[in-house]
Order: sequence, then structure tokens, then C-alpha cells
Amino acid sequence: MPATDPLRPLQQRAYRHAFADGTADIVTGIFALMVGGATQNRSLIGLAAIYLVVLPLGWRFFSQQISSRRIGYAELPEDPPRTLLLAIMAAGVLTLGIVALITLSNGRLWSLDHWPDWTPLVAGSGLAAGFLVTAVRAALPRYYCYAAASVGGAVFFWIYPFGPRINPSDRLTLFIFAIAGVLLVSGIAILARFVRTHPVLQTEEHDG
Amino acid sequence: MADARERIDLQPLATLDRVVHEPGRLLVLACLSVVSRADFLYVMRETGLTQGNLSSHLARLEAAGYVSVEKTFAGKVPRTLLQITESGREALLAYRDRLVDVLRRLPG
Repeated sequence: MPATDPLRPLQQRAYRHAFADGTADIVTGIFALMVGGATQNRSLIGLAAIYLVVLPLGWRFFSQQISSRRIGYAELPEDPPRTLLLAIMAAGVLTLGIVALITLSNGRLWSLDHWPDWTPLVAGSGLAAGFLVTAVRAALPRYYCYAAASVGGAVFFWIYPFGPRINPSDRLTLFIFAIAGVLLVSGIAILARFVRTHPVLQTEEHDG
Repeated sequence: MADARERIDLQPLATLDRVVHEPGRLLVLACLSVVSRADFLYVMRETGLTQGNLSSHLARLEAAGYVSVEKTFAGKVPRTLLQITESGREALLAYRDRLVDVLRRLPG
């Protein structure tokens, strides 16, 4: 039997604690919206790079405000949402990079005539990888669901016959927006439930 | 001959760090070893210790230099921030290695 690290369950619990209030899902959803927007307006990628630094700091502040007097405060060696934001950014940049290569080799950069239909698959794989890493690190079932939704959604937005109104770049944008929507709705629902089920503790209960 | 061969050297058990050896303090150190720092409430919830119990264990760990305790305020609310020190981390690892070593020598 392989030796297991006895601290591993504690690490997972610490990670789960960071995701307990749903604010990480909300922050990730906001960032996914931005990256989805960048698939239509490439200049937004620069803004997303700035948000990549700012959002984890914002998450830490809001999560502290919400969680610290309810379930306590723990600072991890790395802000947990950062991995997710990096995965979303990488998925967006990789997909746009592939599109740029394909369209440029066909004569015109970002030409919709040569924009492949399967780009949601590339973005979906990147997103699923990010969600899976978080799911394993924190043993969080909902992140396995997000990974499954990324793969399922990517296949749907690749093969579903939307008709002539939706062009290939819209497929990619709509897919990322859909995942962002799932994250935001789920995050808000978790936050609402968390606030309801974890009342603010009195000072004497809170501190030693 | 057989007795001598089978005699197990349990002497290292006597040299285990008793500050770390107590289950409550071991829990606190293990809990703090996976985070950069945490507050009193987090450690209390994670370890399942009572407020008084945790306070007394923390006092002992702080006296041994294994945990640093910082009293701050979040607005008007007092807050105790806890952090495992470098020597606390070393003590935890040394304790684990020694205990594993002794347990490995036990038959069965």
C-alpha cells in the first residue's frame, strides 16, 4: 500500500474552507466573462491580464469580510482562485492563439471564414483542467461538475446547429459566457446559503 | 540469542518531544502547518478543541516557540492570528520521523 501524506486531508480541508463561501466561484465567473468578451474584442485580453493580479486580492478581501467571523480565517500559501483564473486565461489565450495561426495562414487574421467551429473544445479542455486541479486539491464535488460542464458544453457549442446567425467566434464566446454564467449562479447560490447557515459569531465565541 | 535479536529498541520513544506529543497540540501544529496563518476560530473549528483547551495548548506552544500568536483587531472585533514558526515546523517533522521510525521497529 502506498504511503499517504497524513497532512493531505488537512490541506484539502484548508482549500475547501477557502471555497466555502462561494466568492471564489463568483470571482472566477467574472473573470470568465472578461475572457469570453476578449474572444470578440481582443483588446480585453490586456485588461484580463491586469484583473488576473487584482481579482485574487479582491477575493481575499471579500472572502475575509464574509467568512472570518463565521467560520474563521485561514491564509493559504497561494490564493486558491489564482489557479482557476490562470487556467481560464490560458484557455482563452491558447484558443485565440490557435485561431490567429489558422486565420493568418489562410490570408487574413481573425477572418470568420476560416475560424474553426471546434474552438470551444480547446477552451473547454483548458477550463476543465483548471476545474479538475481545484477539485482534486480541495476534494470539492462541485468543481468536478464544473469540469464536466466545461467538456459537455464545449461539445454542445461545437456541434449544435445554431444556424447562420451564429458564427464560429460566437460559438466560442457563448460557450465561455455559459460557463461564466454557471459559475456566477452557483457562486451566488452558495454565498446566499453560506450567509444563511453560518451566522456571525459573537466576539466571545470568536476569539481566544 | 533469539531474544537479543528480537529485542526492540524503544529508547527513542522516551526522547519524543512532549510538547508536540500531546494529541491536542499535535492537532494544532498539524492544522497550522498547512496554512500560512489562521485565526483562533479556524483552528478551533478544525481541531474540534474547546476555546479554553485551545487557549491553554496555544500558550504552551507559544512558550516553546512553536507557534506565534498575534493579537489584532478587525474593526472593533479582537482577532488572534496564529502562525507555526520555523522551529515549530521542524519539531513537527522531527516528531513524525521519530515516531514512524519507532513504529516501524514494532513487530506485527
